[in-house]
Amino acid sequence: MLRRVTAILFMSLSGLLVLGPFLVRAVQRPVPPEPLSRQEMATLLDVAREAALSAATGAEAPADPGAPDEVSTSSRLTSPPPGPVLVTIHGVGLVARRVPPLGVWLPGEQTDGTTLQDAVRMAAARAGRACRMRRMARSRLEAARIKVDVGGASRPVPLAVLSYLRLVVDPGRDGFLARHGDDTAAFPPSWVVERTWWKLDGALRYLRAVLGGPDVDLDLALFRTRAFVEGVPEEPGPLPVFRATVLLPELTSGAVYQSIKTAGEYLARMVGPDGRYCYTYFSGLDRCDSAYNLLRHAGTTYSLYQAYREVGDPAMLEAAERAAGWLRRQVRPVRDDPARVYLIEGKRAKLGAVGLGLLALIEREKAVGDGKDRALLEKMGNFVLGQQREDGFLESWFDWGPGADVPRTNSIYYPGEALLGLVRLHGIDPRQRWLDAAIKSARFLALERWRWAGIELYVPVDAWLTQALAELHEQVQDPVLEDYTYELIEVTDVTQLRADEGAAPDLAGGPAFGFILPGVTPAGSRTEGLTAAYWMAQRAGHRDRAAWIKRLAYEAARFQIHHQFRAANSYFLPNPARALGGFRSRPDKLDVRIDYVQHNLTGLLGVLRMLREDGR
Amino acid sequence: MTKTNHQDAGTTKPISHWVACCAPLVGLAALGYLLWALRFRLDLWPAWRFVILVWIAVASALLGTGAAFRAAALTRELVPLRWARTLVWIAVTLILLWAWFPPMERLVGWWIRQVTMFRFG
Repeated sequence: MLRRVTAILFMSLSGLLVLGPFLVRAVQRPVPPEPLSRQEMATLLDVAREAALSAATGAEAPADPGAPDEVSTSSRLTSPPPGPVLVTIHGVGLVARRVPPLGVWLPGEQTDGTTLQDAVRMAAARAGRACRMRRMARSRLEAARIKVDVGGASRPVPLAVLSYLRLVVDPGRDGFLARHGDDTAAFPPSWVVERTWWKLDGALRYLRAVLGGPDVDLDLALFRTRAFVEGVPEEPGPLPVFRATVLLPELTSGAVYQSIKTAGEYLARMVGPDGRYCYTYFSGLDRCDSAYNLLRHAGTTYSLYQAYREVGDPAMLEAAERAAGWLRRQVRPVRDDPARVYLIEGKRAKLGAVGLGLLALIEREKAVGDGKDRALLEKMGNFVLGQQREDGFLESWFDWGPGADVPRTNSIYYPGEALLGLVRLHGIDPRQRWLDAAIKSARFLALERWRWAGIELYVPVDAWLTQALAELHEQVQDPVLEDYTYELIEVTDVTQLRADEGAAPDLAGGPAFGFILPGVTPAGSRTEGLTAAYWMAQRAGHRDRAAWIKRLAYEAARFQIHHQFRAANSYFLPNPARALGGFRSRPDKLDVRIDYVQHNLTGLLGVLRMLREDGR
Repeated sequence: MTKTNHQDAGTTKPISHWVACCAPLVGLAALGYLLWALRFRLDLWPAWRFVILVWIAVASALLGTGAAFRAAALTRELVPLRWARTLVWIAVTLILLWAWFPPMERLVGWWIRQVTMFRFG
């Protein structure tokens, strides 16, 4: 009997684990209302601004928004609202953990003849009154951007428990309606992202605070909205908002150039007088952290020189020179061998730091051309050669002397970074020894590293290695390495989310991670590999493969730019000017680390070249 | 010392139910992976690899087959309900297909894409 019960429990649990998340998600998914036309959105934003300003200044809102015209007689605007209506007033200077003035109209207020326009007007007036209570200056109110959320029907949630909510809530797309007794409170969908409450605990705290206290029981329901925000001179409104971002309308060379320019400007702004970057910028809080990483410093400086070479902005060069100066100060000679140097960070000497240091200083040489680092580059190249084993593998760590920290495990990515450094070094210093070492290392990484007994166990998604192999192909046309480069692209392809399969519009082109939203940085680094492989395919005359890779790169580029801070999509930040050009780590997060910007910037430079080739 | 029932009956001590359930699955999945590797990703040079792989394949096949029969007997004991047994074998078949299906990365990638789109759809 006990055995039978155990078996049934085991089977039920297994079934629940496999199918449960899907079933629950399907039952809980709320439906958004019908989309509104551009003109309808514009009308509602006008109505909202007028009502909010009137209420904020103490004047009565006009009873009638204006003479009936083609739009105000639109059936959607004159029909009852399909769900809750929320109006938010976003002024600069408000950090993420504080809530902006919000006005809510709830379906429970529905009386005969209440139209969507009426609901927006009432919600906006409430938001305006919230501004007045906060004594918001009129000038600040006028400069603020108003966002309207038109909600659809809500679906009840049986459990107001965080772990359950994290399973069923689509962050940034599902909002909450909470009831306690006769009172109802609303939590706008985009606040999970905008207020950095992606763990949802802040959302529940907010709802409990509105409804009476930290211990009140909540009766929860989910809803989705059609949201839109007022525009900016660069992208005039109304702008539809999807998961707290404004999607890029079209991928053109102009849009990509602008993205590269603002990313370069972001990095230039983030270099301090000592040459160190603001490593992670928490854009929701408008502050930097104190952590640092030498390897990412080197990679970021490489991309800043690249941005300068494309844009020609002297401020970028000046900042990159400061960053390169800091990088040079971390160089140490190898004991008893002054012909080799390494870069030190704490107690560690990383191969990857020298690899990316090579890229940065070689890019500087291409940008400035003064030959200042030639001797240093040779010594760094010698260091990489010194790390090479007999079989071609490049060891990740260097034992520089007493007190050195030398981890036992090799890095996945350092060998690819150093290999790319060697290939580029050969490009400006065409001595055979760089090329010989690069070929030896490339063959090991492609044919030995992830194989056991002849079986290829794993193909890493390694953008540095992809770039290195694709660029090495210019010097050596080895079909084995060429095939392996395409294998590296295949592993990128299989996890890329596709619009034609039904991926959400802000996620298409991003890398699928299952139960985590796609990362923007992996998308950027994969684009670096894709664009390098594209030129290899072109050189080799593989037109079909080139077209395939180009399609992947364009999709990824759209995803990347959706999640870069532009004037249009940074309406909720405390300091939009400072965040401009930064790439967020994920669609539901607001932190911008220097390497996020580096990978995306470098990848987009390759895409820009492809778009120009296409005349787009 | 107290004797257990199966010692009285002169039988050997049965292996843990968890081992009985998981070992065949792991063994069969390993065999499937090896078949897939043999068919699509095998680099037969140098020749000693081929010899080792044949031995591994034979051993795995024997182990896998033995494990399958053992699993069939044990699932009758472990999972007395017919419908539950059917579910177990459907799961085994799926795992085998998973491991052996030629474009494995594509299938895994497709699955990850579906999960992501369903979660954030």
